[in-house]
Amino acid sequence: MKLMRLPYRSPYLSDDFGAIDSLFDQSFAPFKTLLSGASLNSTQIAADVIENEDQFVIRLELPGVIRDNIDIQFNKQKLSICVEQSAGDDESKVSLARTFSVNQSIDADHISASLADGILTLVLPKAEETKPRSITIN
Amino acid sequence: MSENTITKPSDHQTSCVQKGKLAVVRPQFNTKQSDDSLEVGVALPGVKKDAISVAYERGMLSISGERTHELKEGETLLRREIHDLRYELQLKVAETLDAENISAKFENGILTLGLRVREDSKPRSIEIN
Repeated sequence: MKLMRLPYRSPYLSDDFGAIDSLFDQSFAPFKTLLSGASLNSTQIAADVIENEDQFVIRLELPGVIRDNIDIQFNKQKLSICVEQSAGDDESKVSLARTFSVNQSIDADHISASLADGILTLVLPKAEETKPRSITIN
Repeated sequence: MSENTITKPSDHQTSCVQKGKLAVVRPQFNTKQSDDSLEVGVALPGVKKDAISVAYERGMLSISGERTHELKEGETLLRREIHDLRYELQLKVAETLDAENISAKFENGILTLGLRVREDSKPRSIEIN
């Protein structure tokens, strides 16, 4: 869960099914996270990992996070993403992090990142030596 | 901090979403209010601006948006947690708010709606003569 609802209820807006929904959300949250493949730690950033011949693509769900509050490090085959997210009001901040370990060699100099519509997309090009290649017989 | 290996295919490749029919999810939202306005921030990560619809009808504000991510040729999914889905949220708007002038902007996956309190509903102080 990324955003925290403010504890008070606004007198201006009401959400008829909110109470029932949140009861369901709370009761079934562990199953939902299990089914989605995420760990039971609810503050984990949701991620997609996609591979093709040349690269890995990692997508991370970061709604409301601005570029300056994202720190990406790649060190010793580990990719770490640390994020600071404001939790509703302006004062409180939540820090989230996720680390991926990469078993293949990556061309670390050419890792790229882009942020759009609350999704951070990281592209990790595979190092030349790990790419599949065909060998010609002389 | 959690750790995941990305080179090992995950057991969770299949999402619970049936093909062709998106699961409906209620987005998370925040409200921020002052004496003369109310701001609603709805988290719609991964939804494109063009895919969001905001409608107001008979006291109800309806927000919806779909997100899908298609794999390109040659791509394999190793892990999937950002599911294709349809966000839907319905909020009842109090009569003290001016429903004629609702502002909306979409930034970093957050839809921000601005509503103003009607002039005649604002708190005011009464002076004693």
